Amino acid sequence: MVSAPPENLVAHPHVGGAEQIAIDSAAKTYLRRGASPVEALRPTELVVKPGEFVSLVGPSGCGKTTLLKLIAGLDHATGGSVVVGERKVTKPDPQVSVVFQKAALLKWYTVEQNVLLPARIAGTLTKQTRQRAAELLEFIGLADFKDRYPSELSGGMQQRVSIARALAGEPKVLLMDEPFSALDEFTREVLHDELLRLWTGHPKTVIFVTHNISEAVYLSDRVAVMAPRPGRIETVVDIDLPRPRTSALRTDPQFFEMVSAIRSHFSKAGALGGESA
Amino acid sequence: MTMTAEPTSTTKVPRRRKAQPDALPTANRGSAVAKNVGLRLIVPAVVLLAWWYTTSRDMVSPLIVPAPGDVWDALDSYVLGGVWNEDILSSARGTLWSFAIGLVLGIVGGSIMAFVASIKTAVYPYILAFQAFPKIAVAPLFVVWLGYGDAPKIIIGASLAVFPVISATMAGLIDVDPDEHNLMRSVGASKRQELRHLRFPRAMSYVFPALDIAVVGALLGVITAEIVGTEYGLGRVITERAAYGDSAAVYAVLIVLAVAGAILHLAVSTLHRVMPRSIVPK
Repeated sequence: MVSAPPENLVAHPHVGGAEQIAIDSAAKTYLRRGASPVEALRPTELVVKPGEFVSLVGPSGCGKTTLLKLIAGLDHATGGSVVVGERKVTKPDPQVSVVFQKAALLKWYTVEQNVLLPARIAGTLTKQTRQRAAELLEFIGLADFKDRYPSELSGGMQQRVSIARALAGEPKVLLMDEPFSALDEFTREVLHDELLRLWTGHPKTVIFVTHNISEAVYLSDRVAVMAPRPGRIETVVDIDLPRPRTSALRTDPQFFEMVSAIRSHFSKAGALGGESA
Repeated sequence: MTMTAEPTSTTKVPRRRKAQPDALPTANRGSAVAKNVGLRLIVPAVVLLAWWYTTSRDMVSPLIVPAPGDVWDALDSYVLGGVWNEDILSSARGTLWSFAIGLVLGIVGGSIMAFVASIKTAVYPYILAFQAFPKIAVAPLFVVWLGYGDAPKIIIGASLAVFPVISATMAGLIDVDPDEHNLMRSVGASKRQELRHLRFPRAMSYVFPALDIAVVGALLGVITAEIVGTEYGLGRVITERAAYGDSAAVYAVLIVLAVAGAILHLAVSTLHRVMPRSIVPK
């Protein structure tokens, strides 16, 4: 089962621009007319430390995206609560950025306009924000593309821009919903390393939703293993691999051990072996 | 430079094109344009030749097919000579008003129905039914009610122009990607901001292609209403000259209408091109 949050963490919800996420019995049940309710997420406990990188891994229907939406304030819990920093989540907050599965770039805006859109909407578009956006684009190697339109970029480049957009406002929390699942294996590995470099340079609390076990192991401090029907966190596994992590790790026996350990949790939970239910 | 090696990117990025010193592709493009122009001239050349040939041999009555020279003379005296000035002006004014009214009503009506589901439920079936109804059939009624001025033709023209705009506006405003919608919510966008940054540009990308259909509808409605009855207008000229057996003049009107249609199409596509991409997505 999930371990209770250590008391000392709750007392220090801020660390270097990152915030703690405390999930306390948060649950989501969908009521259906003329049918039994669907428990998308059973009451869940999880405390993510400020600056920690936690992945939610599991097959479809395990509630990982539901949990992410509760943290983002994009969906309401039907029980329990989610607290980010000292704020109980009731609605979306600019301090919490979301990166979606699709890059969701607006095709009528240039790369730069897309990156600056959240600041424009929040009314915080300053010289400093522009500077920060330019730095981010430089960092991800897209400075030359700032006046291009999304349709002129490859899928990997589009997802880079969407990450830059999420980070331009210096959020305290970054939520990522299967951001790399539509990319090919090679592009994905490059983006893993880029994401880790970005995260190291500007620590934020990251929650990363994926169905890819090795991706979760490579990136995370901890991996929450989730199972469906009802959606729940089965267990949380610490990833004791040293940082900074580089692609050499991908062929490290220790890495494989972690991946197969998590895989065995899934088979124990009966979550592997297809969509049988 | 980090230009990617995608061959398609040159066609998509006109602003970067001039930076590329590619003499060979430009030469190829030039000859391709010349080839296309040549290909497009074949049909009118053949038609003109056959026209000239059949009339010069008196193979058909000049009442049915007047000689090209007679049609040119009619164009020269009626159009360039200014005899039809009032009529051309009246038809043009009617078409532009029809288009403008159809555009505004279409965008307003489409927006209302996109945002207020109950109004859509109450009204949209009747709009669809009206669309299927041959509006030309009510033209005589409008002339009886409103007289021989501009009003009946503007109403008929606008009723033909409005529907493509209504349906495009509705479709564009309703078509919202769930991820894009969630993005807007996650950055705390107000309804107005979501409209400005997300729904409005998407709707415009639907509306602009529909304008081509709307402007043709406006012209069609105006000419038809004029044929039914009006004081000035090219539709009136057609019925009048046909009654006199002046086929050359009727052909001259048809040529004027073809040119008018081409100009309207060009105007709409130019408008589309010059609008900033942030307002009308390409």
